[in-house]
Amino acid sequence: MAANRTIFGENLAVLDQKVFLLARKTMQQIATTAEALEKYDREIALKVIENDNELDALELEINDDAILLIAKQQPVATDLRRLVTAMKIATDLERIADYAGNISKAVLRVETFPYVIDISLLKEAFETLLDMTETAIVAYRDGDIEKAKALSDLDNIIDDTTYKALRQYMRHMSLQPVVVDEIMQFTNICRYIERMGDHLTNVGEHLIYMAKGKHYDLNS
Amino acid sequence: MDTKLTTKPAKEGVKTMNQPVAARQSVYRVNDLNLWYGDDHALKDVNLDIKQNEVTAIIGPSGCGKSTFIKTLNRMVELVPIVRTNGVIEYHGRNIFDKDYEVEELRTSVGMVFQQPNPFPKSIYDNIAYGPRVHGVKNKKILDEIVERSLRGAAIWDEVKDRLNENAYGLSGGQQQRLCIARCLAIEPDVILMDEPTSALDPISTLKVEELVQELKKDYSIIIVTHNMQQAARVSDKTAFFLNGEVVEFDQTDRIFSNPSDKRTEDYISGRFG
Repeated sequence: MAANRTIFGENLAVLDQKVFLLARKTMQQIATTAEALEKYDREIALKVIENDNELDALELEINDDAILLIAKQQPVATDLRRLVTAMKIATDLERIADYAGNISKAVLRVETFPYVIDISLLKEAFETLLDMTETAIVAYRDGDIEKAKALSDLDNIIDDTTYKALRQYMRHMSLQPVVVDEIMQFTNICRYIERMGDHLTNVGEHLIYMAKGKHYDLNS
Repeated sequence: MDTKLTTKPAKEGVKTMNQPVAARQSVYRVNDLNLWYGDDHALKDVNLDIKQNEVTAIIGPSGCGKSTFIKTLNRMVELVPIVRTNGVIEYHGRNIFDKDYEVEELRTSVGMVFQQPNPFPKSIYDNIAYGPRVHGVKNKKILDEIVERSLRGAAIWDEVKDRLNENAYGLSGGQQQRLCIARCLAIEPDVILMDEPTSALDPISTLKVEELVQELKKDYSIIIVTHNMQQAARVSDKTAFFLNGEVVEFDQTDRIFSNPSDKRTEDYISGRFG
């Protein structure tokens, strides 16, 4: 029996490439915002904020492409899940990129350098986050369910690390109320990183749904 | 925390679109049905349980045996002289292949609608009244009632009520097909077999017939052969996928079109072959 729908297959591959591109760009944004924080580099922070528009546009493009393919090709079963998953993953990636922008904005609000507090736990959380993004990209590329599940473990590490950092900063605040405004920026960054981890875990859930057609809760 | 996967529990009170009703009665039970056209083995070990008041869709590529199967259900396939069958088809518990089974009785209970609308070259009224007359109904008033009820049942009454004495050939293709469905309803069948009932119709008429199928399943059990997979997805409760004379998969339509278990089903419904 001859294989049909080669053009639709090609369209799906193009869409996948766009999702990969968005994932790569998101990863780049995370790395860049981490660099802005580490070096207290306002130029780099501004660049992250500026780049965000490009990622927003790519997310919309992915949604438009997927909707058009649904309308024109009437996909079912795996094809349909693949399209819906692409849209959902794009939404999660876009949110993650937004948080990267928020972190850069927080860096811009910090006024004193060297920082009043130690950011080594934040650096550690960023490393796990980049590791997690790479894992999500590979899981998507290879349809690797085990890697998608592993995202949940990495998210737990991020939760632990950001929680520790948060506790540290709270203590600091109570000891030196004068720097509360400064430290608030870092507690916000903790929260942003923690949320980014959650969105990457969602990506893992979407990937498992795409493969199996069932919903799994990795965020518990 | 471990990463053991647990499926999210469905929220209470949340229902899927086509909620199966528990323990519907079977209309047909097909057990190990085999059929040959001469040496050609057209149906192989077919097993299906067809439930009352459901729409069962039969899908599959050309030559997979779906029309042969549906014609076996009213033994019409026996009109082909070289046909041989074995296995059992129970219709309400009785094997239709039993020697003493009255085929006329079977065909009275099991109506059929074909691909091409095939009205008789008679008036609209006479098309519908034909069956009841053959069955001995002579009273004009009763016939009038049957005609109106059948035409209403087939959602065509409003379009033809003022021209019941005109020739049925004057109707459009879509109207003719609904007339044929009405003709089928006139003898008050139990099951309606539909062999690609919309493949010769325009899209609007197709949607009308599809809506009608949804209406009719309240009172009848419907088995529909279709090339149009989206149609199967829209109208049916269960879908059977036939390939090379075998039933590859038979399941809830919701499942077949969202997450089929067999790779061949997936390839067919997503248009990868066929």
